[in-house]
Amino acid sequence: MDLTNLKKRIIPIILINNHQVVTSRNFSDYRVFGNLEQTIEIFNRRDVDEIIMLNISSSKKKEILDLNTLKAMSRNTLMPFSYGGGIKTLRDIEKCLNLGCDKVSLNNIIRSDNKFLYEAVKEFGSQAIIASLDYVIDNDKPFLYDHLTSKKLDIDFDDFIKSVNDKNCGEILITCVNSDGYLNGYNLSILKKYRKIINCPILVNGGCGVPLNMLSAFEEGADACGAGSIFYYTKYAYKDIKDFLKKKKIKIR
Amino acid sequence: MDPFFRCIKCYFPSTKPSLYFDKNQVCNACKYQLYYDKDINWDEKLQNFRDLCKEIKNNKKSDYDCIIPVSGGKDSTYQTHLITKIGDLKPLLVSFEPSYPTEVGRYNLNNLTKSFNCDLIQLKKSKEIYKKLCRIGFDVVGDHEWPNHVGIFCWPIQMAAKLNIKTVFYGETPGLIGLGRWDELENQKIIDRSWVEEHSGMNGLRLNDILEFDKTIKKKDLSSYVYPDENIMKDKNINPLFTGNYFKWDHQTIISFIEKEYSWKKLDKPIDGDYAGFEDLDCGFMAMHQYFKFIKYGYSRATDHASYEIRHGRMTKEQAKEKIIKHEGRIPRTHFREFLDFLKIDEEYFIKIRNKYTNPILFKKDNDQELLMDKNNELILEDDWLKSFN
Amino acid sequence: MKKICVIDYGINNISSICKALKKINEDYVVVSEKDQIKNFSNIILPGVGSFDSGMNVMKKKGFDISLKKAASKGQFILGICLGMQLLFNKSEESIENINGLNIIKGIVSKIKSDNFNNIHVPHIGWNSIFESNTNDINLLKKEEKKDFYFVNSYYVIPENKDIIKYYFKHGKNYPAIIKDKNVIATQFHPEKSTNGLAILKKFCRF
Repeated sequence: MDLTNLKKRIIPIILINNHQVVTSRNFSDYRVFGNLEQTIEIFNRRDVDEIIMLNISSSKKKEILDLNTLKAMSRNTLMPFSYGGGIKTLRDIEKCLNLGCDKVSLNNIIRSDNKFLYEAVKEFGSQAIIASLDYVIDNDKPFLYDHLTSKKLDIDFDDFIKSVNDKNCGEILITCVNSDGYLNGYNLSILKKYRKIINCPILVNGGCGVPLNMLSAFEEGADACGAGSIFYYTKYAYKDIKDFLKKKKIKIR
Repeated sequence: MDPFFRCIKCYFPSTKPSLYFDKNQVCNACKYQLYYDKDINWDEKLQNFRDLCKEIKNNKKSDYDCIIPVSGGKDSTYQTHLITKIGDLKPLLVSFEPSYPTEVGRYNLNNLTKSFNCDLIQLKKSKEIYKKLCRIGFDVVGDHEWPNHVGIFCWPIQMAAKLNIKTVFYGETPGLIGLGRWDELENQKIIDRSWVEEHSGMNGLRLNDILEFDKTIKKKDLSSYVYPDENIMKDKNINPLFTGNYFKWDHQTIISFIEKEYSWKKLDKPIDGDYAGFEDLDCGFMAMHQYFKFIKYGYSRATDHASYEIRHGRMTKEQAKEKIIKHEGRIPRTHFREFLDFLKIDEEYFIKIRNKYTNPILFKKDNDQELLMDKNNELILEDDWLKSFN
Repeated sequence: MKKICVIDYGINNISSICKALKKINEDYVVVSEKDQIKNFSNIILPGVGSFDSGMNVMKKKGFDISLKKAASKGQFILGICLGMQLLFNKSEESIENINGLNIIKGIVSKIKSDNFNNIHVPHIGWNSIFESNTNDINLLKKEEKKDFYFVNSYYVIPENKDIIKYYFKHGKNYPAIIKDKNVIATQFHPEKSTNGLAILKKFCRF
């Protein structure tokens, strides 16, 4: 029996570098896909559920809070959108929200400052905060991954994801570095392992190549599927994916 | 590395889609050129081509041996020469009518049927549908040539499937402009569906989107733009190839040759945005497509050609810099009125869309981050753009 | 004469609502001082953030007093998301046990998560709304889409159930739209969807 009418979400995740849309493979091998405004406009016209914009600034090896790009995006989008990349202080979050974001995505900062997530939730409410966890699988074990140093981290993954859950973040975005950019399907191991103990919505990301990949993720309990390359390099329009999922009886808007 | 930098060898910009740079700021097009000039055994390639043509003749199911998509431009003219004279094949030439056919374009296209004794089919598309698609392309992705990019790849392949002609010969390999990862450049043999989605200029827009965005357009209206289904491609064994995989391609060599041998014509004066008159000849609106490339990525035709000449050792960086600065970056005024009429827009709307798709990092803005324009509505380049020529 | 204002109390994101009002061609003024709101017939109270952050700023700027006055004088007020919750007396979210605006009687409580049944909290995404049996406002036409964008962990419990006009379901049924005379509020963000813009437009015409 369906106790909720909340729909599953399909979320284009747009990687930005210097105001251009880029794509990646294993969080490296970045290449320019194209102009940011045209990518946003396509998603606008497609009336997508929401978008997440992540600023990667790989060339400088340090994150920057790209407020100008965020402002430009905000001007052109009606649908809900979130921003991540370079957020280090609560004032950074405030600036992003004031520029029109509905949510912000926090990545490095919640590892380097273990009070930050709690403070952010307290000030802005959990619904505005996405905790973004990137991970690699090595010998069947998950390790958190730092995209700035391109290294896997020596932090206990199990402890970390549980502590994030305990701090009441709004959503958890889990991205598998191994599958990123290969269009070969999501890695669902983390979702499968932690779905029953995580109370908040889980967004999976990394590797989606065909609509069937999203079906698998939704059937394992993902609340939303993030995707990038499928929209740039395959024949699937957004509606094609939705039509497929509706046929498979997934609750979709 | 700065947000906007250029290849230290050939001046291709870092903003160019799908172009890779190594840590020394050298681009993949340069890397490919080295490989192209030294590591390829062209005699072997020629033999491969001859073998391929033999196989094509033996396995053909139609009166024609193959299809060549043509525009009448330098590449398609040269391809037709190679395929008929060296391959001894009987091709069917297929042409997707350009948005705004020019006189020299028409001449060069007709010249193909005369010089090579070939049959040519040109698709003159429904003007009403085509214009609607151009308008959607312009509004949604800042590219009025969007349906043309889709059409020139998909329609010939479709014709191949319909007429049971297995081989479709495209021209120059994308490696020469560094399009894609190294493994893709070395091994690019066929133009499959995913290649078209990624490299033909679709910009992420899909035909099914068109049906959503403009409800007056029906699925049957888009039949000429559809890439055939995978099953059809497999059943009929359709094989779209790059002729450039078998023959060493060089613009200047090709141009001298076809001018002399086949009376191919180029323009006496440069096209807007370029210093040369040998590219984009067939369509009067191509210069506008190139201009939008400039506002989005900071480079257009002059850079394409100058960097090509640098990689071929025929131009110095200093000469290239001069040509690029002199010719690029202004609204193309030739056929401008016709362009506005074609899309049924006025200049004010044109400027609005132009500004919308401009990459703000490349151009000067006022204190409110609005783009600055001069009295001719031209944008003003940031100093970083000029400093990028080092 | 109809005059619309949007309250900027500093912690919230008003750019979305302003963008939406521009899109539906409604003139509006952004107000950040309590004394300004008396000049407007229709007041929009948006909200993103936590109950305590919201109320602290409200009180600091004196909006709590002026909004209560505006409500009693019959000015139309539209509360959105956190803005809806602030209208009430108390919220479970409040760590400092702060009172709300006390414009509508009732409290704000937390949605219960239920992992076994896939009820995750916060409630984020597109959910459909359905009429209550006391619905007397025609905010949605039959053929219009019923999905709206929600981002909430908490829900309102008005003392007078008759003011609940539409519900959403997430485990249980929770109020999506309430209307108490001249005060109307939505738990979802109408500015984030086309059908939501239609509701915004209707409010501007109240």
